[in-house]
Amino acid sequence: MIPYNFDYYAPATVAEAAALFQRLDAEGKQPLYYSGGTEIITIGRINRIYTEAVIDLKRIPDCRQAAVQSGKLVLGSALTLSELYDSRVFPLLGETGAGVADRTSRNKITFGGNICSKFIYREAVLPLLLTDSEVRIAGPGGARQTPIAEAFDGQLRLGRGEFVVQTVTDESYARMPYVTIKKRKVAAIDYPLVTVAALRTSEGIRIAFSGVCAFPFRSQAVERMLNRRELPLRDRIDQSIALFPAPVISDIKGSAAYRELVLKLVMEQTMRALGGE
Amino acid sequence: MAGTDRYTIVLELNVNGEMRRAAARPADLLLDVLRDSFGLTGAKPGCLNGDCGACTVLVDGWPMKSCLMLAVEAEGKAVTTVEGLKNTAVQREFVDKFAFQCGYCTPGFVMNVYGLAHLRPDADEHTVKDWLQSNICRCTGYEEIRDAVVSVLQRRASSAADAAVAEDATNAADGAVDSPMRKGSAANGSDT
Amino acid sequence: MDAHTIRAKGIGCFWKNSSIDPDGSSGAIVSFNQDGSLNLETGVVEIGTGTKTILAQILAERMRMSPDHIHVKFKISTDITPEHWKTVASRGTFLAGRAVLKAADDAIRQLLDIAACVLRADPVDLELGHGYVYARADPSVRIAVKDICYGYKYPNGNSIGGQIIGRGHYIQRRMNYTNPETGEGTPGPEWNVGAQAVEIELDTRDYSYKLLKAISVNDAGKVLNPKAAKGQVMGAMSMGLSFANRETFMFSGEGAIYNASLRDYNVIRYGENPEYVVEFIESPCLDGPYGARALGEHGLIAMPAALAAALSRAAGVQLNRLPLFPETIWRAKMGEPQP
Repeated sequence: MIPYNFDYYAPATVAEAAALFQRLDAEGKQPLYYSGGTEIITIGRINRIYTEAVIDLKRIPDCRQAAVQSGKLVLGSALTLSELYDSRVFPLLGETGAGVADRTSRNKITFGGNICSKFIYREAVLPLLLTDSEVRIAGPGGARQTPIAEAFDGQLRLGRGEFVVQTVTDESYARMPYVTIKKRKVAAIDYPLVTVAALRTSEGIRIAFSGVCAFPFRSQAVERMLNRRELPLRDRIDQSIALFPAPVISDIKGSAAYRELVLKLVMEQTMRALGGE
Repeated sequence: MAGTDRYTIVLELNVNGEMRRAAARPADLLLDVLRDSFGLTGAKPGCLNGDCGACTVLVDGWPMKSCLMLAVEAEGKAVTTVEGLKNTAVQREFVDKFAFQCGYCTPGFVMNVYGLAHLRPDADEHTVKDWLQSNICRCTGYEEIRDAVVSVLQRRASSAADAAVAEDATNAADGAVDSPMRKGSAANGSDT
Repeated sequence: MDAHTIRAKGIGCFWKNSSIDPDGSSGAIVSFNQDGSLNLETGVVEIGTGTKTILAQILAERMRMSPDHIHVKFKISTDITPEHWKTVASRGTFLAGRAVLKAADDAIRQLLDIAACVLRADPVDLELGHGYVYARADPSVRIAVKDICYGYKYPNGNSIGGQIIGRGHYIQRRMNYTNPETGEGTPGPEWNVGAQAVEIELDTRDYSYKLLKAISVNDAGKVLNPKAAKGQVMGAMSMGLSFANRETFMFSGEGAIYNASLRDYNVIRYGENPEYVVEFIESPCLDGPYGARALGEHGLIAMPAALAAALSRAAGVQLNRLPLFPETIWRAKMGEPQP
């Protein structure tokens, strides 16, 4: 049971949702956009998040869209992780998302919700980072489309009242060779010790990480190092880890030292699978 | 809870093929409304955190943890609880294979397997594992559950005209196998 | 297997004596319905072990009837249900089973007494079976249980007997307290033994491993219900492996639990289990009902040792800490302190 009350709104359009937010915010309702809602429910249950109004985005057709428009794959933020996996429209995204939680939870957890998660993993963002995707964001000030590299800095930078409507990805990326690996402490269902997603483009291998540092990231410096084929692969991996934007974390899932061991193995496996020796 | 009345709404839910009404709060979980307002106690409160699967029901045919869903979200959808299944092949196989001991996880497992057998009758081992890892059983070694699932899937695969399967279709609540999700919100989506 | 995969097996043995209060007792009541079917009431709480089913089987066997005609009362009322010490310690079948046998014998004696009058026969010449009391030497001399279980009415209205209620109880013989200094004492009546083995596949790069196969051979005394017995042991093996492989609470320096939900307190899930092989040997326990020995908890006991033995062999380092997380093995291998 959620120990406090809130109102539930299910707007039909993006504009309506943004306007609702603005009004409810002005009324002091501390509104929250609600997509899969799994985090609001579970965190709300233990009083770690509070709201007097939730705005469900699932009935907005734009947020449920999955279409190819002039070579661009447009994916709505309220698609569930299971839908993305089952549809096979973007296998790298589908499979990376399929590492989150468990199947039945993923029938509820949405793409946008995962990217905007309060937890540190947000694994569904990795494919977007790898493919230089863009994010369509809407809010009281209107709509904007921003490259993910600008919008995402450990977490998605959203203005007050803004929400993710869709992501836009060049369709050609969906056909490139990819690898996505999630390693857990021991159990089949758990947060990651290490999640690595990678893509081979004509210019080289791109790689993004979750669970390693306190936020998901893709780093140009790391990729440059990893693509220096003149160096032995293991040296490249060792040196690239030194270039990570933050320390490798230590938590109940694993110490930094063990995480680093697993990370190196996964990176090696990834590079080999993509022909990056 | 102060001011609860102001938040009370009348919910109308299609549960096991019946339209039912309840006075509830928008903040109420589907699990709590099913149990407390409708007396359908088949869905079990376990972890209440989306981790154990004991509260699994079908929503438009898809297994969903009813602790991860607000009751208002289920309006306009077909909800099926274990009470909506009457002597289905899944239930019979669970009994036959001793696929439970204390029974607390059983309705959740049964609903998940029922959803799987209808949406993915040709599921391979990877898919079965992926789906069933959503539920926790503390008593069995899972082998009995596996035996039951394999048997259910074999029956479905071996004969669409199997009387037992046809019987399932009649016994399950309306709408249990139709899903707007399944029809593919994803473009070019081939439903594999 | 290959450069970084090692398969290994480990074996563990166990013995267990259920130490309960020396005066822990169990009671049972057997009553009849007008159609001759039976009601069985015991204080054992059915928590999924199937003990109530076993008790019905025990009663049916002694009454020489089908268990289909036994109504097992599931609800327990502490006002009137006979006491069962506690539904713990693998004592359900043993204690309550003996109580049920005694209750059955009490009911049989009463049935034979009434039947002896009606059939004009010595009760020692009579037998109960298949819903009748009949003369052993001439089964055509018989009367149905349903006609005597609420007393017998002669054609002129004279009646004898009355409702038959069988009562039974059991308390373990000559138990005593264990001496805390020396460990001497008799905490329980029977020592039960078994052997268990686990086969694993270890990846020597990150020390992750797969559970391939697990075997348990228990001395069941007498298997009373093969499917239930196998399920009990497999479930216990699963829990033992789960304890050994992943289950623990993690504490902060101040004692706060870091993993207080099933999100972070992991248990084995579907498909993570090994292939299970469960076998029994039967050396009867003379005190147990039909020779049965305790079974419920025993399948758990040696699993951690068997797993640790297999992993120790595969990793080439002595592992004596649970749970056996891959990182735990790695630390042991590196000579690093455990956190």
